[in-house]
Amino acid sequence: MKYFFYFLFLTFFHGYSQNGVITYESIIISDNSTSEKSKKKLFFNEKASLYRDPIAVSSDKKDGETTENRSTKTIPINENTTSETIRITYTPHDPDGFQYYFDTKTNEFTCRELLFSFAKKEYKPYIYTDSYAGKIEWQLKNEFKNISGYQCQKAVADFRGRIYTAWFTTKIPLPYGPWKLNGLPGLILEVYDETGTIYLVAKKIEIPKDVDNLLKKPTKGTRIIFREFVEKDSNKSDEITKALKARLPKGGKIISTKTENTGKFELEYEWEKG
Amino acid sequence: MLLLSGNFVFCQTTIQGKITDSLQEPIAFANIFLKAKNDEAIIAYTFTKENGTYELKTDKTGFYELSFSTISFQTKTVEVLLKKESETQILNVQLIAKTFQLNKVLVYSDRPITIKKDTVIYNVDAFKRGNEETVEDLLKNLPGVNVAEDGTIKVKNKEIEKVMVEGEDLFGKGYKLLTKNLDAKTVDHVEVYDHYSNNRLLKGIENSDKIALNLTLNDEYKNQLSTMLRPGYGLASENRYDVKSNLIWFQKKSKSYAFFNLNNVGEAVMGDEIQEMISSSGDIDFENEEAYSYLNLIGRPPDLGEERTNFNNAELVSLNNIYTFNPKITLKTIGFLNWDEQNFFKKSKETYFLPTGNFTNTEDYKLRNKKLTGFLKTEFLYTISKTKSFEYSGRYNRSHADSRTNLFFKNELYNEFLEEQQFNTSQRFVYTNKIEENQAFVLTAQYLFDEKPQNYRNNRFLFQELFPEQDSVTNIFQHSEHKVHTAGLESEFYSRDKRENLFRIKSGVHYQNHELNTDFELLGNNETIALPDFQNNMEYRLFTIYARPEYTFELRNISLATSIGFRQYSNVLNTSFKINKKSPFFVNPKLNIEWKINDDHRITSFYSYGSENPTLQTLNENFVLRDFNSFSKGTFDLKPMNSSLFFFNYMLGTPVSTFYANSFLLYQKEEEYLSSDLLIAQNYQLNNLIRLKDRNFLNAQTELNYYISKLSINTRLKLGYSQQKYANKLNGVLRGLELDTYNYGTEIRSAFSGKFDFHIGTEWFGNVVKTEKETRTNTMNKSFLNLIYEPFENLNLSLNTERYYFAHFNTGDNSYYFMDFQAKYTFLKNKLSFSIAGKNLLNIKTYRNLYIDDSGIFSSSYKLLPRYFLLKTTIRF
Repeated sequence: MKYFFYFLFLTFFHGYSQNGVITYESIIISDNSTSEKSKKKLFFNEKASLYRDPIAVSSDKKDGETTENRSTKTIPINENTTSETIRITYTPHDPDGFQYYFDTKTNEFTCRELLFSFAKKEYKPYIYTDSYAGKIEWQLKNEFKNISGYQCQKAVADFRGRIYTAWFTTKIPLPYGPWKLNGLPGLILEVYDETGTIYLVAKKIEIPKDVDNLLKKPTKGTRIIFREFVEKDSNKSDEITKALKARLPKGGKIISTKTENTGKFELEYEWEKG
Repeated sequence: MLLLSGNFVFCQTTIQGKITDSLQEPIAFANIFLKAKNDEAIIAYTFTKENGTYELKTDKTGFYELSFSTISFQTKTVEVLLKKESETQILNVQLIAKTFQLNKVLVYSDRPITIKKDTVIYNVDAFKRGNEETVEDLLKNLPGVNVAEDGTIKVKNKEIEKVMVEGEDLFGKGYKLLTKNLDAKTVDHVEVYDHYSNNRLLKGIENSDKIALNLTLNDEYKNQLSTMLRPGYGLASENRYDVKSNLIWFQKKSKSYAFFNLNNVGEAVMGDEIQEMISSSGDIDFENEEAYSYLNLIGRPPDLGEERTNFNNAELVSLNNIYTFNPKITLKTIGFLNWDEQNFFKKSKETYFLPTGNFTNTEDYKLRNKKLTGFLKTEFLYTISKTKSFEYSGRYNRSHADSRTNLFFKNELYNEFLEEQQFNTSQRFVYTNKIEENQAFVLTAQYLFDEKPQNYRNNRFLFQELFPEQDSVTNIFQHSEHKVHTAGLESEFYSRDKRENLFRIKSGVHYQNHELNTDFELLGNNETIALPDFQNNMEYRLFTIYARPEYTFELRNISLATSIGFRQYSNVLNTSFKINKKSPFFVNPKLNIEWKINDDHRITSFYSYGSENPTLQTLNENFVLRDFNSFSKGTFDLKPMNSSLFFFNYMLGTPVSTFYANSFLLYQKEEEYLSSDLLIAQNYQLNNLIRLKDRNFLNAQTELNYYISKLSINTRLKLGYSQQKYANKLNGVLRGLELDTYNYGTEIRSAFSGKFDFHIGTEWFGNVVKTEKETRTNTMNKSFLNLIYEPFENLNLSLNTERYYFAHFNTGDNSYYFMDFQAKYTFLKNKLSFSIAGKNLLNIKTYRNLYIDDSGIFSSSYKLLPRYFLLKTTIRF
């Protein structure tokens, strides 16, 4: 009788530990920097998912992901030279990077993001809880496409100022997806926003794969309320674009008030709408 | 209608239940989704809660399938009948455990964006929003492509090199002609090429930071005609007009573009775009291949912008085509005809301070110039194989110009006539062979010819003092003609090693032949006198053999580029009586360093040392008339001249830092230089070029920026200083000279988030001329205020004000104010827009400026285009 119990316990445990990794390719194209192509991993089990940069210890680093780490520059010699650009890319040297942890129990994201401090010229990690993100209202469309043999249905949602089109398949019955995009009755294989700035696609699916030791809520960083984090972030980037604009030469007409596509994922927030 | 909506309210079905496993344990976060029977489309879905319960609402009726799925269990599908009445169905399900296994790499076929090494391909359909008219609008939609207000396209904040169509380049840097006019719907794919090379086979081998775009066309829309017409007409002013039109026609094998412009509002009819379209790259780097024209009657207008100073009447017709015979052979033809009439008005007062005494001259002249230019260029490209290509490029340019002036010199009237011709041609052959993946060889052969004959006549004789014996002269004539033949054969070899460092060697032979004939004649009644001191008849031949290895490499954060030029010359200068030969050997090294110390400190610096042969226009042994009253004469000396140059740039912070500063220093030292031995008399000037030792030039400029984020404004401070030390001879006295310039100014520019922005600034410019005996100073100030107001999206208003102030005018106005206004209203985006421009609103009719040098003080006043308003519309169809 005792043995039977053990056996039961084992099957039980096994049943609930179906886990795996989805490798996504993330292509972010913004107007003022290089198009960024990188690999991200989505670790999951039945209870949670974690979307983040691949962990650097493995040999993953070599297979193609490039984080732009070069700074190119053209130096203006005088007012008349038209070449004016200086591109600066600060690369965070933080091994934990950006992380998005989703807990199915609370339906909440715990996120770790880095903010650049212009004063200190370095990135600082913050951790916040995003409770709205797990509740995206997807509209299902009667449109399908085939991705590598998987029939995918189209779903559309407006999430924080961008309209996303997601292609998901019920053949892989996971409610997960890349970044903060999830909550469909099947895995999101491809998702992009209307402007084409953001493009995320699943490239590799490995189920099962033991990732339970990696699947942890991010902890290294300063705890902050989401809204405060957003304010901190937007102040910074506004400041940069304004500073650039105010530094145009006299010939450079002060006409364009078009907000530039900076490759930011989130453009507006729930509390900003009326 | 009522019935329908009634149905909607009442027929909502709720399905509830609990999902458990075989042990009756609840399954949390399982997917539940509803589909019509035999259909793929999910119409509703939900997830189970932690306790395994779910609830799904739907307003559908009929037979449906409800599926329960999760990764660790077998998916179960249950058929449900949804009735018309609203009801709650209870559906509890037990799922059977199953291990899901999958190890797969996914492949995508129709991605909106494909990124390959150095290429980004946009599938245009994914980015169309339906309101695009021109290619420019379409490009605005593409992430990563930035289109400025004036149409400049930038990728990664860098202006692109060109926009090709199906790999063919008709417009070069004048790509705006294409993007502003081609219909958006003709485009299928847009490709962005990074590290682009004009010579396709050098891609990845030569160093390039160029970016180019390529448009692939939709077969359906080939053959489509895109037309733009922009008439503009003056309101409440003189007869002012500005009309532009263009036409694009792409067919499968032939791509054509036609352009037409006429205006009398000072706008250069050629426009930057056309200039850029005809400019050519890939020519051999010759020196002095252009012929020289000795006389130029059109004065330099003040630096106020052409729309204030250029009295013109210009017309231009341009026709261009690329024809593809087969994928390996293309022929490109560019041609234009330009007719231009220009008027120029200037009054000046020249006060000379000379060792031989002081005097003042006055000049008042009106000029009318008519010019006709024809240009033709053909390019033939033959791709022999994947690694070999051959290119021919031929260029012909012919122009004819007539100028006449009414010149009051010291209140006496002179009439000048100048007839100028120009003919030049270039024939170039390029053969490229990509030997290996990282090695290439380019062989270029080129022949150039240029001639600029001039005939000048002045209807009165001004030089009685200079030629006292000639008492029966009534007028003068000069014919001058400079012809240059240049031929060269050059080979370039590129090799990139495994560490990406580039080695390049250029070598070749050049031959150049200059012929100069100048003939100055005094004309009397029935006689012509040609004085030997005022005739030149010479020939100058240069032959070179050269090699220039170049190596660039990177050491951590330091990038170094080094090169040394070796040149062996064999030069001959001869007249009918004399001959001068020299065979110098030059070693010209250059070292360039870029050092990024860290994110906040960057240094760029270079040093070069070089020797040069004297140019033909400094060698003429007898006098040539250069102006209505001045003659000049060269040295007949072939000795090369050496100089060294040092440049240093330091950048603190970056353009996005709160504090940002950029400074540079330039220092040039000439071991030997050409200076003037000038004799200035009241009615004539004679200039003898002389060789002197040691000339130094120093220039330092800095710009400091501070961004005040609380106010959203940037404040800028500019400081600059330059110094030049040399000597010259004036009326027989040799003296040392120092020319100093300084400038300092400040600017404030806003970047408010609202509808209004401003930019205000002021800058002082000072000039100091020091001789041993005296110091002369000239100071001016330039200030401006620009205001922009955009009350709503379709309307843009701008008002620009400028002030010019001269500190050293003793009489008359010493400050000038200009005001321009512009309003643009877009009626139908890209189809129809109106703009009104008001130029010179304060109606300033003349403008006077001041110039000083070591011989005197010169004040000139210029006639300006009076106030006018121009109403323009742009129509596209």
